[in-house]
Amino acid sequence: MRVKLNQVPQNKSNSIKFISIVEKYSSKFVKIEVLEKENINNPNPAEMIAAGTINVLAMGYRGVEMWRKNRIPLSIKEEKKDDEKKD
Amino acid sequence: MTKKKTKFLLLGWDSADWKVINPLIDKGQMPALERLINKGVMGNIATLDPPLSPMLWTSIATGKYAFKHGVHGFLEGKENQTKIGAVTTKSIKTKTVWEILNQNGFKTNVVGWWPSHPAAPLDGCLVSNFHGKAPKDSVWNDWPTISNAVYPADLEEKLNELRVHPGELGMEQLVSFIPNYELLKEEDANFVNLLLADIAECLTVHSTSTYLAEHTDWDFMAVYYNAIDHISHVFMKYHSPKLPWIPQEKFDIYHTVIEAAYRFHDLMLERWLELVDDHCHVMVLSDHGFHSDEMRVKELPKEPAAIAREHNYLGMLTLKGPNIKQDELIYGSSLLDITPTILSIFGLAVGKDMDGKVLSSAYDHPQELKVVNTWDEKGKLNIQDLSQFENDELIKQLVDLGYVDGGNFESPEQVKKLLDENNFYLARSYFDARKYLEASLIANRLCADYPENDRYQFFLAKIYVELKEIPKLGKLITQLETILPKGSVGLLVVKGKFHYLNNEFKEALSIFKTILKSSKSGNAYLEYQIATTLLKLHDYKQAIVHFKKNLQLNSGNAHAMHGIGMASLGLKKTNDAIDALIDSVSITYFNPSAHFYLGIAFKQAGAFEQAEQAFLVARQMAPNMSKARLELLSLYEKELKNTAKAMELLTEVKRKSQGTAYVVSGLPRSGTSMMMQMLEAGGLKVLSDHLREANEDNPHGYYEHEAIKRLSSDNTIVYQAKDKAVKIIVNLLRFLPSNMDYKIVLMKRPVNEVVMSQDKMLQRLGKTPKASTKFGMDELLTQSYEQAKEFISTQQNISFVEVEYEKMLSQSEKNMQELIKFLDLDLNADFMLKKIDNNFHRNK
Repeated sequence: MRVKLNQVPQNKSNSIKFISIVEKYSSKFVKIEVLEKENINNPNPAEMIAAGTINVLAMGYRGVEMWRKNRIPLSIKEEKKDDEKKD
Repeated sequence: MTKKKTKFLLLGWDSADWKVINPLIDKGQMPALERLINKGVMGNIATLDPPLSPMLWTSIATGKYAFKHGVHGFLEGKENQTKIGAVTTKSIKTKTVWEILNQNGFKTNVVGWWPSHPAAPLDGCLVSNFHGKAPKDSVWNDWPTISNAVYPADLEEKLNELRVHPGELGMEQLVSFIPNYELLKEEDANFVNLLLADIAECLTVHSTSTYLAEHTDWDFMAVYYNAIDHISHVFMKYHSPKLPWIPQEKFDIYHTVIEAAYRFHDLMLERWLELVDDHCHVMVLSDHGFHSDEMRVKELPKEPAAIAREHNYLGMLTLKGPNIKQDELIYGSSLLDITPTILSIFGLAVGKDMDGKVLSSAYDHPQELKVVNTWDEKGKLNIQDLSQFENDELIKQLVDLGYVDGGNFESPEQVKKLLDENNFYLARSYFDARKYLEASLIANRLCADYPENDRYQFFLAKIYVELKEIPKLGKLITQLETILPKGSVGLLVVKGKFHYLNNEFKEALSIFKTILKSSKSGNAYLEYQIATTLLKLHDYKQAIVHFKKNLQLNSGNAHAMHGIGMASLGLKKTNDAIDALIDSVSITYFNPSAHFYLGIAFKQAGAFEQAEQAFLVARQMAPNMSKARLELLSLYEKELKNTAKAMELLTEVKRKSQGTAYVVSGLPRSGTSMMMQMLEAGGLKVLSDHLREANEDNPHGYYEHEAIKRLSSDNTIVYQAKDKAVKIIVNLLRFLPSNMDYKIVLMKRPVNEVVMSQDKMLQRLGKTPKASTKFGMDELLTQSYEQAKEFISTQQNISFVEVEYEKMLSQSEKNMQELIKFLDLDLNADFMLKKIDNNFHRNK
């Protein structure tokens, strides 16, 4: 069975605060919670994705490409939040 | 069915250590590595000194010590040593394993190896170690590419795309390493950024290498990951168990990072195991370990490369593949063994000039060992020099990444200082290879140029201890007293060693105990010194107590286990001795003394066949160990009643002898060429290639042979000297094959005359020696001469006569007859006398 690294917490509210700590590298993205499934030659992609993106990235270039394809830029995410507030 | 092509995947995990891995495997948290181990062999791997990454990974890739491969640190001298440059691919002066494989038709991919920039052309692909490094001031969407980082160039665009910048990463990745992220404060930003940078670089290496693995045709692939090392240097102090000086709140945040880093590597390994099939050999190794227990250092000294003090001298090694044993341990591996082993797996010859050996104990079925003098004959590819701009950029990156201290790299003083630090590393590499004279030559010069630098002085003291140079050590202590405070622990330790060498064990013990008493926490080194001194004082019980204390602080110290074995033998506790000595050789197999005492212990326990095996191993490792030979003899005669083996051993030297060689030896410029001419004139054939032509310094020729200069790596030329005269300088006498008899004519000339003569020769060649290199030259030459003399006096197969240069010039017939009598040859004394040339004595 594929080993899981420490689980991603369900509560993501700290992500934005945390990104401000690492602003030195100008983080521009937050990541979506569930990545699209792809035939990536992995025994259990769903489990791997649930365990966190580090597991996806550990797959090498396929993981990096899949991760990049599925992440949402922070600006869009924040716009969505603003829209939700307005509604 | 056709035989599958050999394929080999080499994964380098810088600093990975079994002490962290084993508990994770036990918990089922490194399943990929566990699978690899179950299908192959595992063991410790001994590192080299100094433990600096560019030097170590080049030794792994070449099978040679740093003094042979040419990488002596992070930086090096350029433009006649007037400028500083970063170490590059061009710095490697000998062939790497991938170049040798290419030369033999195998395709190779190399990613991230240190040093591998600029990416040199090879039959395959190369991604340099600078490809994935993100400069501190860079941002994720404006990250400049570094030129010449990828070969072939048509892959550059794709591989650059696969680079991962730390700025792209964030919470979702970090949470895997720091689940208690909610406890982070602003002050933690620096640590978090360092972690992000390490993960990003690691991901770049992993994504580019997995891309190459899937999209190129390859036979050999080497991938180097530095994340465990980098992460350990920052976070190992927070690893469990908690160290007393670590604040609880920081421990709560960071104690998970190290285990997560290892588990992340296991995930990457899992991907690799999916990408290769069972016909591919897979090797994972580290260049050294990393202290994760009580040996963790509270505060590092402010000195260059101080972080290396956190490294453990044993790294990890595991290998699986066709013809590799399954689920077994291997012993005695060194970083130097990797290249010879890879070459052997590909069915290629091992270079005799390599310092490592093939790890044949890992093979299921023995494999024929092929050898070649050197793989360097064809020469290396011509690699382009970096432009000044590229060089400056690389240095800036090294400074940014903390490998090198910043400063003014233009000032001549700073350039000299940096290059001398490299010379210090070079000297340490010689010391590591037990080439103490070469090490002392450099250390003496450094101590003369930097009398205030106690690191250099302590290193010289260490050399003197190995060489048992007691008066010189005494002088050095006086010098150290002038630059160090009275209570300096380092100075006291040296004083303790001085007494130890003088057989003043009580005094040594008192000093070591005083230092230990004054230190606030335990000190593994001092416990070991106390224990070995107690062993000398025959206080075996107390010796064991202190060896055990050493092991509590430094578990896995094979020397301490060896000590317990010796002390247990002293107490007649044979079974304890056997247990401890087996433990010791299980960790460090290459230790002839431990095998010898294991033999003694087995003999005492009545296990005579095991005793025989242990003595045989000791002799195999140290052919000149006469006490092992005597014990074997006694075992065959008394216990095993095997007369045939006893007779075989008794006649061994004679039976094996390949004949007699007549060696003319001495210091350079001590009349050795003249003696060679005399012997030739007298009727003895000489072994010389006459490549070095006669000149003003030696008008009748040098009588040398180029191959003799390489005796330390290949001594087979000596067999051609059977019944001939051959010239060999004193430093090389210890490399003579032991299965020949030798009659050595040792030329002796006052050392001041030798130095003057050497200087004159150098001046004529336009190579005036600098004052600094002459420092202590006469002492060093005397030392070489005396050590060689001591060595040949103890060898059964060597007889020698000392011939004074001065007396030889007197053309005395009596002296000549004495010489001929010693040689026991029918030589013409008149012709020999006529060869004596008074002009030789021009330097008097």
